[in-house]
Amino acid sequence: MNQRIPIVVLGLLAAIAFVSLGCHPGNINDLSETDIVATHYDETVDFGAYLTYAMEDTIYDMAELENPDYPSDLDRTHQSLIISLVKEQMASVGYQLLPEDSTEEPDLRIGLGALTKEGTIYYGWGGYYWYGGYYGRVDYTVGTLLIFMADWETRDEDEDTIDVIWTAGIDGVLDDSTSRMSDRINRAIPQAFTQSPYLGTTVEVQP
Amino acid sequence: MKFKNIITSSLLILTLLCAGSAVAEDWFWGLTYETAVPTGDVKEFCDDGWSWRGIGFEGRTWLNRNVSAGFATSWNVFHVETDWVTQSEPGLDVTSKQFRDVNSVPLYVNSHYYMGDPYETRFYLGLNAGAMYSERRADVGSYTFKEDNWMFSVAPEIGVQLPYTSFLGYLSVRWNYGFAAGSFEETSYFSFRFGVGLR
Repeated sequence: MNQRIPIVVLGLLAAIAFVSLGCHPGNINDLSETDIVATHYDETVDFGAYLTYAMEDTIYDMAELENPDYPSDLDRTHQSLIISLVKEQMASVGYQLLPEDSTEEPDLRIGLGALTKEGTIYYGWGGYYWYGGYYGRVDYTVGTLLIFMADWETRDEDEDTIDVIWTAGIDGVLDDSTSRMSDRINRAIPQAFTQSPYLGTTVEVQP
Repeated sequence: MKFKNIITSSLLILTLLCAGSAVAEDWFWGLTYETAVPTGDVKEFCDDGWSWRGIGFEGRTWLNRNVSAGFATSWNVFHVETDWVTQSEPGLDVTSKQFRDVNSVPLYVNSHYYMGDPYETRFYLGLNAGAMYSERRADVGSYTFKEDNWMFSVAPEIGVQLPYTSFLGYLSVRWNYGFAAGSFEETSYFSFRFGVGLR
């Protein structure tokens, strides 16, 4: 009888421990948890030296730019929201949008681009896995919105180049819910500007 | 502790273990549930306070009434989910939620010294030494960043062994310290072990 006690205790301990274990116990509860806002800037630039900017009211499909024969299937449901948010944020940091018919040269040029890629999540014991996996599989699409800010004065029309001085990349798993996507866009684009306090500000720049 | 002393201690433990296996009268086999608290580099990466995910297995044989030698292994999982946080590098800022995990699996040989009578509650001191496998992983958005390393590891331990007949219970605290490997400056944590053993 005594021999059975430790065996039962050992079994219970093992069961509790193994149930509670798992290499990667986290779970994504909402696709907004996959959102990333990344901004990169040229540290040698004085962003306070610019006053005006120009911007086209469209989002370019980056895949189509790479390959003109590519049949673009970019979902433009949120295009107007994205463009209005970018303009709103540019105004909030002090940059003035030139009208389309303006003959004045802008200081900055804003460009918007988007691309998508496919991925797979494998669900398994103790959590989720972006690769490998055990039980279930979900295919997903990641969308990335890119906001480019270029110094218009640096353009070289012969070489077709221009210096990009600030880039924002907003990346996340796409879902089918329009309202939820709107919420995520409304959070992410202002965040790109919030984490770039140097925009519209003269700061001591690196030589 | 200097590296030379660590090597010497490890060799001593190995010698005791080999000698013990020749003269040992019996073994006990133990299974532990472990909670853990990260320290140092692990705390910086995965500051989650207590980890409730841990399990261990060990075997000990008595060389005499007060000294045992054996081996031990365990698996400790640390996990943290950050808020929507911004991390900055020169010229780059990234805001995201992050899922961070540390998995550590030390493989030790060890020796313990017990104070008192085997059939009464008694305290013990121990030293573990061996190798540790540790993985650090961060899931950021749809991206995964991961690094794993093997490293030399030591773990001083204090504990109390409860009175036993056919089985025994024991509680101990072990400070696991894995030395620098790869980009890991160190891998350390306290593990609080609740064990039962068969003999």
